[in-house]
Amino acid sequence: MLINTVVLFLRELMPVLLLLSVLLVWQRSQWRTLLLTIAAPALLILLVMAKQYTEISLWADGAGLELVYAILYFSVPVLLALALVYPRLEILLVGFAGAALFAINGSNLVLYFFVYQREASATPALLLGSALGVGIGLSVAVLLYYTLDELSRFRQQYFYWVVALLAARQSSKAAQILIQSDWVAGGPVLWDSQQLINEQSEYGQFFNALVGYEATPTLSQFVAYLLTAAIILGLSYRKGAAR
Amino acid sequence: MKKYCVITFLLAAFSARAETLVVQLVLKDHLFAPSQLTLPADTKIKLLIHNQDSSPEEFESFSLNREKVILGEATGTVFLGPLEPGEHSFMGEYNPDTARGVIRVVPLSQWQAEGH
Repeated sequence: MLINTVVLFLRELMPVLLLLSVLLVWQRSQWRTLLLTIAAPALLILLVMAKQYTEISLWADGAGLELVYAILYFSVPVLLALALVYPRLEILLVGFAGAALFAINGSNLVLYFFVYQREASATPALLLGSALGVGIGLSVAVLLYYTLDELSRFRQQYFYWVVALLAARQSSKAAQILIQSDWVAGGPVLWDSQQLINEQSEYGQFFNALVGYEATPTLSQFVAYLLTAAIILGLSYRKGAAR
Repeated sequence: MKKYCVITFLLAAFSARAETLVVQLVLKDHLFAPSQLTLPADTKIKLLIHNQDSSPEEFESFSLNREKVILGEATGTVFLGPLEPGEHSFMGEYNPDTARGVIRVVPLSQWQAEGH
């Protein structure tokens, strides 16, 4: 129970914490506003989802949760792209992007914590596992924050490369959900790099959370990934040139 | 624009080519039954996962790129493939110690010869 909880927490929290690190570097001067812009809508979505889990799961022939997750995943790169286009609304758009990812991963944790029925004797292991998961996740996020902070001071454009890959990761996840629900054809698996970096390993999960590493990506996922990365990078260069 | 049309056409071709086979998987007492599924290669699969436990579970397979939350006493659908011959492990993310299984993908002729 303890190890399973730590692993589950890391898997769900890591993508959110890494995105949070990136967004905090992006909006370092307004970090309080950013945290509020992320937390308020995320908690609202989580509250609605937690109350309506069963109803939502019945939508779209039983693929309701997937539909909601796919929309939320796609909204992250869209909001980040808009933030690059509309600097005045940057903090709001960036915050909403963080909130969307927080809502997806948070809803899985809510499900595990509050909907899952378990014996009372499992509670200490659950709490300890959660604390360890949050602790490890936060440590990695803090390290990433300072690394990116240095990187962005050295050269801002390098920072936007990380933003682009992070945004592309969310598009790839959305595509994956649409494929497994048969709304989009996946196409062939392009390569298999499990032997190089196993997706279940610590490195595999870290790179999946940060840049969307997939050991066996399909054509559709890869196209979604590349298109998103190209759009975000293009917009960031345009923004850099306009300065 | 031409490039997008080609990609769309290719994806449509991949989906049109495949016939769908419906396969059932049951989760009870945090155990998958059957724990080994044998599926034919080059066939699109509609996997129906019946969670007979009262607790939710998340079906997950890293090599298949699939993860699906299935609420307690509910059925979830996951589409797979068409797949190449090989093996893919899957698990229940909330009970990874017990809820585990393997999907074995074999050539269609072998799958038919095995009496499926």
